[in-house]
Amino acid sequence: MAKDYLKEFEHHVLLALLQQGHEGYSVPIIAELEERTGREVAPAAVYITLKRLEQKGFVGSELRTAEPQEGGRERRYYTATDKGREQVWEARRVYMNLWEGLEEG
Amino acid sequence: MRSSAAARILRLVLPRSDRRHVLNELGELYECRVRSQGREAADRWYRRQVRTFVLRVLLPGGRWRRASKDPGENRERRKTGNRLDVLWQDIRLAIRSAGKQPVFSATVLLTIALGIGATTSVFSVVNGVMLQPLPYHDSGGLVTVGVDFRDRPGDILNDMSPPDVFDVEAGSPALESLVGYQTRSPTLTGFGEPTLVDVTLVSKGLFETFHLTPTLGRDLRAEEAVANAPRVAVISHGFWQDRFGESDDVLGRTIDLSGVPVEIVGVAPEAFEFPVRTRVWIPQRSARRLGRGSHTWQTIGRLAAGATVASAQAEADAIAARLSNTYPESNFEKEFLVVPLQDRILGDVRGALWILLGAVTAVLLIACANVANLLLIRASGRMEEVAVRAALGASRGRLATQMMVESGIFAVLGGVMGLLLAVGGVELLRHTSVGIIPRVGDVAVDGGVLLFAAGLVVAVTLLFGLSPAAFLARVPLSANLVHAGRRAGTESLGRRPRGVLLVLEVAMSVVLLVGAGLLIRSFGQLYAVDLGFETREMVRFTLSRGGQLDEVRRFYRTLEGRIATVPGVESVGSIYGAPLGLGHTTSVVLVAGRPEPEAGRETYSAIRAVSPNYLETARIPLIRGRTLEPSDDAGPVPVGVVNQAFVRENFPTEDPLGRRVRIRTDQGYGSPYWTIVGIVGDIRSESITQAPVPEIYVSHGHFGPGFMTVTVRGARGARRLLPAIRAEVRALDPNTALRSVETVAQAVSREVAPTGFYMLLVSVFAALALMLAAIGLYGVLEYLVSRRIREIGIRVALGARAQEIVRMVVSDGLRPVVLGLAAGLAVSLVVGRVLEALLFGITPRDPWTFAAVPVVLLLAALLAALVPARRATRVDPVEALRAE
Repeated sequence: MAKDYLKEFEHHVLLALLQQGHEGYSVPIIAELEERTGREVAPAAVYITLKRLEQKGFVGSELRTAEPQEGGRERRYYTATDKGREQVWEARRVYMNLWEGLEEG
Repeated sequence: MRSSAAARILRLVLPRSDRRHVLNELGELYECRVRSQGREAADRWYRRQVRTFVLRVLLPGGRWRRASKDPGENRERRKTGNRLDVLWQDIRLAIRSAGKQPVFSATVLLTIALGIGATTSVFSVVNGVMLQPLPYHDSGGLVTVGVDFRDRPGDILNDMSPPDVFDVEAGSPALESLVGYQTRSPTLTGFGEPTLVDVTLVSKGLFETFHLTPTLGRDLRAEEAVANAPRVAVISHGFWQDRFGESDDVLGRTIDLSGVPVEIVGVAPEAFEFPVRTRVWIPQRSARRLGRGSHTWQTIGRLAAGATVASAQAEADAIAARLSNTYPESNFEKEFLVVPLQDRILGDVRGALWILLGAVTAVLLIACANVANLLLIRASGRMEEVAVRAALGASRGRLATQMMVESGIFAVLGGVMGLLLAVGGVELLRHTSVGIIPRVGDVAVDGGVLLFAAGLVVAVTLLFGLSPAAFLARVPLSANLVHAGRRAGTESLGRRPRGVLLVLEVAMSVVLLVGAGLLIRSFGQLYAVDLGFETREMVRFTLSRGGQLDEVRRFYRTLEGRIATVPGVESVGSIYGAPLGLGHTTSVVLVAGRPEPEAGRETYSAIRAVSPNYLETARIPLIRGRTLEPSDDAGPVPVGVVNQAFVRENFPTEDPLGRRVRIRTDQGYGSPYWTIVGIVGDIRSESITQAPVPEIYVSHGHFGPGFMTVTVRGARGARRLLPAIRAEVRALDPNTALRSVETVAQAVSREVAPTGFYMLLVSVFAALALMLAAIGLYGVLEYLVSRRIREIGIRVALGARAQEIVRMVVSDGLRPVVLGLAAGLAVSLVVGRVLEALLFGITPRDPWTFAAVPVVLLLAALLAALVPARRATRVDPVEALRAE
């Protein structure tokens, strides 16, 4: 059985997916990650992470052909599952608790 | 445009389920990059991403695959049958399990590498020497015609006489052309230091026959090969470069050959050399004067379009029959043989090379048997693993495939290593076989050889991969899980194929050992042969001298006298027809007072012209009478000395001393009478392997010729005398060049070199075979002991002594060895005959060899068996029983 906690990069990817609203595919997710972290992200790493998140049941995916005006090509769309959402919010709660009382410097 | 190559790589590595969408999405990301950073940066980025993908997807245990291990997806993949994926899994599994047993894997790899390396090396030689066409244009149509005397023993292709050559060429439509030639080495002067130059006298130009056109000028013409034609020459391309700097105005210039000026009329095409090393071709002006008894011409001809060797032979037979009727005194029992040039050049080497290839193939087979054995042993050790995998749903076919993949990986890696070994092996063979194997310079590891090696890898995979795979396929998989692969059931299954393989290995090793033994014995016999003359501390060289008989005689006697004064020189003599050397004459010798022999009934003797001191210098023992003396050389009565073979042949009951003989020439028996003054011992002049022939040594002063081998005996280190000897030659005539400078011992080594070469190679192969068979035996016994630990433990517990345990293990091992030995010896008795042509002084059933081989083999087997046997004696019964 896959481990149920989120590793750091899994956490990042899941958050980037949630930022896309209801669902998203790799291109906007990667753009989001690069913009928000300020680092180049290797697509291969993102794909692997998405696969792993899927194995753990945090996201679901579906192959779909895009609208003709978007090129009409096949893409894999990901959605966060309820379990995935709960997991990020749970992580956020833990982080907030841990952060409380800390100041920079 | 992003690199399409990179995209293609990606398409290749991505699993099918991810391929389309990942490529699409990456393409989008790439377009974004192009917009934000420009095309170049985007291209770089794309390539970087492909690298990352390759690393993540392809490498063993790649994270992509681990992340893809969704049970549903897996099922889908198996259904779609992604064979590449399965294969990839097998490869990874094989590499991983090979890495876990480094000693085992290294042994297997090394065994394969040695087998493939040795086989590929020998094949390279076979390929370069025998399978590649000769380096001549349309070389398949080139033939040589020679004479076969039905009444003389041996299958030597003798030279033709000029009139016969002309008749065959004119009378055989199957031959487009036929050129007669003989080689000479006159002295070239006018280019600094005088040198001997290889000159070929031809009946007409060669270019027409070889389908070539000269670089410059024209070819020689048939009408120039007559007595009073102007003296002309065609020179080789190399000679033109070296001597004339490729100058265009070389035509019309003259060169001096032994004092005779000849005019250059043509330059041969680049790289054309026939016969090899020829620098100058000149017409044979004396061709029309020579008779049918003068067998002095080798020939080169070309088949007409559509003609075959057989049709040319049929015509040659008809011509021979006709000539035999017309000229019975010269052509009785004389046949013409048409032989492809390639066969003529290769001669006996062809058979020897096939034998070597056979021997090395046996080594390869043994290597395969060995690897198969090792894999079998391991396979039975892996019963448990296999049973578990089978229980989890792996089919037999799947398991067998996996075994084959494993074998294939070993074979490919071993093959690559073997190819590297072969590159070195070929280099070694080329160096050691110079002068033994013709054309060995053409040998290289080329495309054909690579193809051969690749074929070997496939064959090897099948050979040693199939048996473990077949073995696994027979194992009752379910039963194994119950027994956990530890019980006797599995053992009896693996045991028979292992035993059979071992017997085969031993048998093949025995055959090779016998072959090596026979060659070693022959080599020893060759060296033990009494040549009949002294070979140590002698140095010799040949000179070529034009001019009248008297001039030639004075030159050589003066030279001998001068060399004799060099400090360290013990004695000097000259001979025409030096033993194991160049050039001699055979002819019919007629005893005065006897009738001329009938045509076809003549016996031939070797005619050798010697200086008065030669027989003493060579230490050829005097049996009776006297040897030649200085006074004989220019004395009024021509005298000669004969050997014992001559006496046996011509004077079986009479005393030859004082008798007179005549030597037949083209003009009949008109030459002077030679009085026999002495009898000397027989020597082996032609070759070490050929029994002494009847010989007559006549005095050089009366016989000539100008081409002599000067032989010098020195106190010690005859070679060291050479500078002083050269100085004497130069002082006497600065325009004379020394050729074929060698010690007599070198000439002997040259004679035994082929046997030595084959002996060395076959011995190396036999040693390899023996080693491999020993390793195989060791492996099997080691395995058997480990399987019988419990049984041995019980025996020890019941009081068996170490000795008995050793005997048990050794006898287990010796059974297949003895069987293999018997089979191998039986096969050797039959197969040994192929070696016959390479043997000397022994038969292919040499009792010493057949007695020694079993001893060597049993010793090796005993050594191989003792290690596991000792291990068996150290079994602790308590441990062994507890382990169960």
